[in-house]
Amino acid sequence: MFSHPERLIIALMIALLFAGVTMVAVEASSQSSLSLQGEIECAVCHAQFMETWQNGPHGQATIDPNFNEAWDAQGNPGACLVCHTTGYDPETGTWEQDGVTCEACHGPIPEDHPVNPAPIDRSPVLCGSCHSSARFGWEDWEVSAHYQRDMTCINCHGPHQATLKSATPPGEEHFDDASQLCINCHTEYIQNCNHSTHCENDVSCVDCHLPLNNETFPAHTTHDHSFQATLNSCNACHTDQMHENGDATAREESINDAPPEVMLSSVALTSEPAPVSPLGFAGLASLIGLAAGTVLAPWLEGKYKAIKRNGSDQDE
Amino acid sequence: MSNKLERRGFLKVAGASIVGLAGLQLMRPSKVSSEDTASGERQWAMVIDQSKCTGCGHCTLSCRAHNDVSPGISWNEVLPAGKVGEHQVFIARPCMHCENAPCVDVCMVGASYYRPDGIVMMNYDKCIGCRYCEVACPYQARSFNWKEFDGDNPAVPTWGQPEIERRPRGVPEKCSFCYQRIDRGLEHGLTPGVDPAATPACVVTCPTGARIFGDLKDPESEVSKIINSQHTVRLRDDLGTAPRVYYVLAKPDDFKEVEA
Repeated sequence: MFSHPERLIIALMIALLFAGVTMVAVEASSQSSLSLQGEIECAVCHAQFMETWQNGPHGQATIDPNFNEAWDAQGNPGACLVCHTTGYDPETGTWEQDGVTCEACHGPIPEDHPVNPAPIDRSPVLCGSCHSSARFGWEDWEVSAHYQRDMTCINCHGPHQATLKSATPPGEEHFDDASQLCINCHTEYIQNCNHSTHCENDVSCVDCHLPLNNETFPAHTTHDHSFQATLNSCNACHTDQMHENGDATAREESINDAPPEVMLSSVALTSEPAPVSPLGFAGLASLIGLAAGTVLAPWLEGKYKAIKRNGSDQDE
Repeated sequence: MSNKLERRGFLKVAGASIVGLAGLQLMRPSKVSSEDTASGERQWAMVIDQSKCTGCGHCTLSCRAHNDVSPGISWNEVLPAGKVGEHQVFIARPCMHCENAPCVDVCMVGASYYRPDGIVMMNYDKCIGCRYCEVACPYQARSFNWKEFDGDNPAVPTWGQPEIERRPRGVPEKCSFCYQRIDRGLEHGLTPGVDPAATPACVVTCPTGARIFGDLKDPESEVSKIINSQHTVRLRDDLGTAPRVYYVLAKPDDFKEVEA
């Protein structure tokens, strides 16, 4: 017979053995599940990426109501699904996963993934495979100084949440302000801009340098990524101060009205010489006199001598 | 009898302490001379081109995410460094990974050490938190963990995903040239400095390409080419620390195109 303490020790040992075996078994099974591909498995390790991805435009690409409305209106063409789903097969009309999933960009995920990293192309080419053509702004982007200086999409855009990156943590002021991203690098501009009428009226970089393109087609509306401010940017606010292209009668004022301020300022710009002060004239005259005097001096001297001689002749 | 016991006890204690001391001596890291620190097949180095750095701070944010650094600490600081011509310039300061690192010299427990590839590393398990290294570093590259970092990391996931464990409370930490990326990349046949997956996160994220990383021993690497062809400086070279971070200084001509 075992004593009480001995029984307790044996019981504990068996419990430990069972626990150990179970743990090893669970460990092994979770290891094998990691090599499987798919969303849930990715989320096991990359939970934070998954969370932000799910609610972003990439995660919502297939179920987004805007997309579905436009897609239905066009008669559900398969071409849309090439980018709006993952693994679309045009022959069967089926797709593997809803949304732009991990494997759309990181695929194919290697069999031994946690060991071998998932592939990724960080260049704008990968993003451009969907965000291409004029309607997505690729052509604007190609002429931009950013593209030409080898900047990539992911310098400003978070590829997982598919929104702008922000140096400011969520919840803080300016978190959603895209212009904050510009001034990270373009510091010299913000120093000048702060004192301009634009900044004082809360007009920021993106209002002029990233105007919306394609507003007639809401599903694919995008910003002009050439980052060049155009006349249209000015017109967006200053319509009442501008006349339209080739439209001579846009202004409502009649000729008899008092001339508007713009006219006044243009008058001030005409090249009429300012009046010269009398001192200027006097100076010029004295210069002419000096020159004339120098030229005439020998002649005057001769004249003077002649007069003097005549006088002395008369005296004698 | 009691005398005998006492002697035996004494001998036991003495024996144990001799063995213990010998063991300690064995555990103590042998002092590594600087020739040995540069003995590795590869020697990692970084070049930072000041004329390209806009001071945007993406490197710092990306570093915070990939190395899970608390928001109160910067392994990589970007500091304004006056003006060149009319142009504001910056200096980015990671750990210099000195060939003769003062932090390694002063560490009495061998927690700071050289890897064969020149990276100055920390063994947080050995560290006793004396902060000598923090004081010794002429570049202020080390920061002390006064408290454990247990909250969310605001830089994650926007700027990347943590690749290493958080450091415990009571140890100093610093830039490691993203050794985890280098090691893992090499395992998969990638080239650090060329393949983004094997290159330090700050280098990968830099929007203007102001940071270049590579192997000093490879004459074909981008860093070797720059160091051999351009004028580069190292911070506080006069101290004889022989840093492995080289700077290409900005010249007024560099900004002509920008201003035009």
